[in-house]
Amino acid sequence: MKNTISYLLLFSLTFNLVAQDLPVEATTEFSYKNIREGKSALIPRFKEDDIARMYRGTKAINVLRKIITDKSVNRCATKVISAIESQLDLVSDKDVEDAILGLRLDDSIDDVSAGLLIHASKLSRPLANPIAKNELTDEEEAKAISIFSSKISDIKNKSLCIEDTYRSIYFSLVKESAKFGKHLKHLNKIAFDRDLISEAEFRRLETMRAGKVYEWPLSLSSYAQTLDTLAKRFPDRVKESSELITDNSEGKFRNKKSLRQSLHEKYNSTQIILLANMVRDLKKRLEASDISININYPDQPTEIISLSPMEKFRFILKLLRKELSTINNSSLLNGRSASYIDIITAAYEVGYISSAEIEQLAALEDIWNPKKTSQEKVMFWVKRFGGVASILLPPPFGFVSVMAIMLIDQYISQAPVDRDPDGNIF
Amino acid sequence: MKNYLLIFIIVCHSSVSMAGVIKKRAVIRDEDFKAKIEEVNLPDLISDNSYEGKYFKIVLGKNDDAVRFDETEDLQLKAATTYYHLNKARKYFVDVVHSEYVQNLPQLVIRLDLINVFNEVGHFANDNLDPQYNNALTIPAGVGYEPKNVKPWNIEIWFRSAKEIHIKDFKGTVDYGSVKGSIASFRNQTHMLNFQQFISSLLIGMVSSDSSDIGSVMRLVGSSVLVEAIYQTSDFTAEFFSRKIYRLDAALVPEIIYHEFSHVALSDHLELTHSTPVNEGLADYFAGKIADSKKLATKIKDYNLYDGKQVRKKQQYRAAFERGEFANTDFVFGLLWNIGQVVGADIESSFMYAMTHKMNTNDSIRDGLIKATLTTCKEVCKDQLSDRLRLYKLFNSKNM
Repeated sequence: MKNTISYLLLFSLTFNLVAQDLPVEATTEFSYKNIREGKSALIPRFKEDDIARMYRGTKAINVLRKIITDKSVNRCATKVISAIESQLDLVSDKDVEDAILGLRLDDSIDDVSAGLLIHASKLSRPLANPIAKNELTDEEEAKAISIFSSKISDIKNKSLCIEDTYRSIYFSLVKESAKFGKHLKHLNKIAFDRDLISEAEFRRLETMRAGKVYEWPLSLSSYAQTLDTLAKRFPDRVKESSELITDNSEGKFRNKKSLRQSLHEKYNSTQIILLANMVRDLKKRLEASDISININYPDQPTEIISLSPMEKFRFILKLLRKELSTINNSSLLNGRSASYIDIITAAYEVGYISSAEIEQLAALEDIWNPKKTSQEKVMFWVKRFGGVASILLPPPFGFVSVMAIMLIDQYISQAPVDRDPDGNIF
Repeated sequence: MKNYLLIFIIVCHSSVSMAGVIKKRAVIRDEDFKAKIEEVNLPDLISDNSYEGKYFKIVLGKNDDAVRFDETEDLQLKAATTYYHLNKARKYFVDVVHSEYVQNLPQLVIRLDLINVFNEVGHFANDNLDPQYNNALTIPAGVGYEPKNVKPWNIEIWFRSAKEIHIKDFKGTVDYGSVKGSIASFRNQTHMLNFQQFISSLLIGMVSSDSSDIGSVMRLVGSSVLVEAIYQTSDFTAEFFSRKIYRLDAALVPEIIYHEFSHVALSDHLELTHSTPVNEGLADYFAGKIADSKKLATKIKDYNLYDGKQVRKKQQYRAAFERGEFANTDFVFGLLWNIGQVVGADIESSFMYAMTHKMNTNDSIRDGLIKATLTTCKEVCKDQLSDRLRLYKLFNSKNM
């Protein structure tokens, strides 16, 4: 029965996703333009003036804008980097990075795409004939090469992104055997030695391997695809900025990643919309004029219990929590577990909530998942040591520690003195 | 002809000004919120020999005529204080809250030193019937009773005389709860600690036969007995150390005057027939705003031996606050003050006033007040969803 309810809920969530957001005319062109983020977390304050001096209002920024809007290159990070290097005649990685930051400062791109381009700009140029270790058996090598060969046409296809092709080769190889992933250098070399690929192609593949593009959590093309879908489904989004979703300061979020970056790395466009819809429903429920519980008896009139405003509010949060848990336990997110902050970020991304609202919605997490304040942490230790002291102090002085604990508790504690759990249903 | 007209206008204007600039001694607040007596301008007087103004007429007891300027110093101090602060309160509702209702109110009769109980039919109850002291109240308008020659009356504010009464005879709430609660908590923890120590000394005694253990147990029992004795006598002790005498000269406390006028100002939607936590809290809130203070009726020992009210940050909601006998606790005052901070200083007065239009006197705090707040926010708040979420957070933090 419980499972049936969960399936029904899941079905309803999926139905919401599919049915309520059905076709929106594909009129909006995707772009990397920043319409969601606040100030760039990639441009330190001390560097901002330098970048502005180099690019703001210059011819160079016009060149960069053309590159990033050029459909023939703008879905491949490596092609964009090559275009920047050649058209602005830049050689060093640092100069290319500054050019990317110039684009970011211009809001022509956002932090997520800027981060991906900076990654691509750091791809090193490997030696021509690297010596590769080989621990593959003949049989394994033959299997690996056959997988490799099936992707040769993609490698030669100039319209595709080499980083995407190489990621695809890598994932196909490791899907077959994890051991293949450790012999990429050897496999590249064999492909070259057997004339499956040219020297130039070999060098490009080696660059990808050395740069570990297969470890990138997101590629520019897949990010572009997500932006494309979101632009078509939510064409009315206006430019807004939120520091909360851009901030990547250490300690605030894990791995120095911003909330928006994490969102795009973890979820595709369909999943983002699915998560966002949960907040859309939350908003809708908050507007409900009344929420009541019906108790249906077989042969008596139904008993209707109306919830108080705060019971209604807590019920809505509990319902959201339940829906989040249902989604997390389904296969809709490919085994990933979405957090409350993920769904809030997703809702902001698609424009269901504004930048002012995201801050307040994010703050609601404290209600269902209250964090311990530093004062409460201090109190924990005061009570621990006070408890020991009360045993060690000889009678009748034991009460001194009791009194000390009580006084400190009363002075610093912000916890409610007299909770009233019986007064509320939720 | 033109010159005559000009002279006539000047003469008229100066005669009005003469009446309008009369200065009298009144109780006001200084920068530190302490009470002091100072000469103040009494605005909008229409009489040059009594406390009768365009909006307020201050009378003594059941009289119909205004208190004259040649009355005793004490009575004049009360008349001047009430007149001055009532005009200040009215100005707030007209200029800041933009209340059309207040703007169109007719002249109100303010009664000083009236000890009669209010009677809905007869206006004043019999003089011998339970005389009232140490408070103030706002009475609803009445239609009168012709057979007994009781004329119709408009809304009035009554200020009772001050009278020292013993705390035992005081009918209001005296808060010993916090003292008693702390002692109870201390008592429970001490008993628990002593019990733990007793058990551990028993265990130690099983392995060592030290005679000092008996003395230790006796001291444990002694400390428990002592704490229990303190707890059992705490009511008596609290009473012994607390104030014995209660007295309130309501007509000399500016915030009480603001509070009563706020009842009048809100009476277009909140009835004056009885006190509820919600209408008292709202009157407190506006009194606080007019006084520009989070504290009401404090630091005024000369006229008041009552503790006053204040916005308490950590005060949590209790179901008991919904009951009539707790109508004058400061929970709703503090809550409304916090709501004002959430919606923003620029709109809070108009927000609160708009909110009162969505309520009635009998609304509860937990239901009606919260509902009215959220509905008003939908219409008035700058960022309605964000502000409503902040309100939800506030209510949740208050354990509502």
